[in-house]
Amino acid sequence: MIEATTRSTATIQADLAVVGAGPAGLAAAAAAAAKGLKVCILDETFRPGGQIWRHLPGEEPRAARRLFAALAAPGVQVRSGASVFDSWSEGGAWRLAVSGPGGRLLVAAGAVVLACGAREEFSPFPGWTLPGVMGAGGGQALLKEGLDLRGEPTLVAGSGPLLLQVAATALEHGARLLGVLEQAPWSRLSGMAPVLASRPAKALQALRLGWTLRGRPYRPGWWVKEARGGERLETVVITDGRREKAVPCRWLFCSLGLVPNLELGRLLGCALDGGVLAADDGQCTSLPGIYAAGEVCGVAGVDAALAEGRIAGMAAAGAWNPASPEGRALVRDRRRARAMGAKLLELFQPRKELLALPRPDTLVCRCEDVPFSAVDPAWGARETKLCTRAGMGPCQGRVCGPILARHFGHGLDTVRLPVKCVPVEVLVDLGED
Amino acid sequence: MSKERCSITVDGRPLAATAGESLAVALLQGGHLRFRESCSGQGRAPLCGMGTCYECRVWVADRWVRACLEPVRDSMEVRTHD
Repeated sequence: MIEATTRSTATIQADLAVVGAGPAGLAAAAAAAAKGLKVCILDETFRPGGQIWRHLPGEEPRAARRLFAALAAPGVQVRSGASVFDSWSEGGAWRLAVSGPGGRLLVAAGAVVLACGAREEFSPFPGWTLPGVMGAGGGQALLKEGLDLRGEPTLVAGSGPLLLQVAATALEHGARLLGVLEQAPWSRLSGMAPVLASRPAKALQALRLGWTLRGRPYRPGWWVKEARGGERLETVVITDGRREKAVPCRWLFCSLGLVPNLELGRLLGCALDGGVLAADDGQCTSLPGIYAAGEVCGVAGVDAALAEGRIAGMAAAGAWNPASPEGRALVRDRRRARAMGAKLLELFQPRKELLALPRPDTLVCRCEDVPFSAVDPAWGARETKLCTRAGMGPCQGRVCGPILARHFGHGLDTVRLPVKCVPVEVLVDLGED
Repeated sequence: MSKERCSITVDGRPLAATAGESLAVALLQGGHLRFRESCSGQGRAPLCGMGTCYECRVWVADRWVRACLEPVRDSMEVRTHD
């Protein structure tokens, strides 16, 4: 706990605080509010919906409308632009210290749902820091916010089913889509067929995507070797390990997949299981009153997030009954979605060739401009941080941490306060004695 | 809500934008690809698009913001290159 935060003036009392307004957080809030709980949702972005439901005003995605409507229920308040940077237990309640548009805010709640979602995992190659190279989901988020790529040559690369969705979004926003590079080989992707066959709704989604993307090359077993350009991305060099092609290109949307945002849960001391937040049948973590839902429990997509969020919200309200008809349906949805998520992670394992792409001067930490050559493979996470400053910039290792883990086998470093980069006046209450 | 056009200034120059869209989108659409300068002098633009990487940080008035998490408001004064 940061001492100064206890002196904060603005305090919100709620029965339940929900961190994150994506599908998991919104489902939790709606379920808890329906049971009469006073709910406060804290979200970093400026419109609820998380990454999957990012949109322009007036263009709410259909799938999100029911949950968006639930935000208008009495007893629900949403704080947008709110970064939770500290949390602790005090006087029988959980406290969350928040940095937001109005400065510092303190939330006191009987229970908390961690629905912090996931971020993208990047796999560095020479030139990955050039403007024009973006995360696949990150690029999609900005496209949904109105980025217009009319006629601009665009390449989507990396791994996972998200790439196809990103490519479809890019096409809808006018991009001249050059293709989609999937690093996993065909032999692995064929493993998707039984998965899709067992999930008709997903198969239909895949067919729709296939139709949208018809005629655009989908290249399994290909990956980006290098990005070139001066002030911005101009050329992408792609390879399948034997052949190489230089493709003129202005936008490259690439990522290896997703990494759960565990920082707040780890700060609180929630137990981990398999590298993600451990949760019981009612989505409760190892700490009583702290629930977890969605990607923080392992990357499994929107269906898992919706089921788990709903379960967590009901559990926080003391109304979770896995034996009820609704309870049984939610448990089934959660199990199916989790099984699919696990299968996808297995199919889209990154190939080892990707680890050989960085050159000595390729940056591993973009905040502190630390090149790969500065990292001694004999070091662990802490030594690397102390000797090179990798992970000490404003992203606090959120980008380079997973990269260092892949390349050098680093484990998770300690989570330190504040868990989000916040203005100093938020930490030190200048308005008080 | 309709898409309301507005005007912001970026490094002292006017830029037409849409109120309520993300500042990152407005800047990219306006051809700005150097949001900040890295500690070794490289130009950087948005990477994660969701508030994690801080590559899109710019100054709005006297505040350091992540452009991808900042909604455009009319008459906003933006400074790039920290």
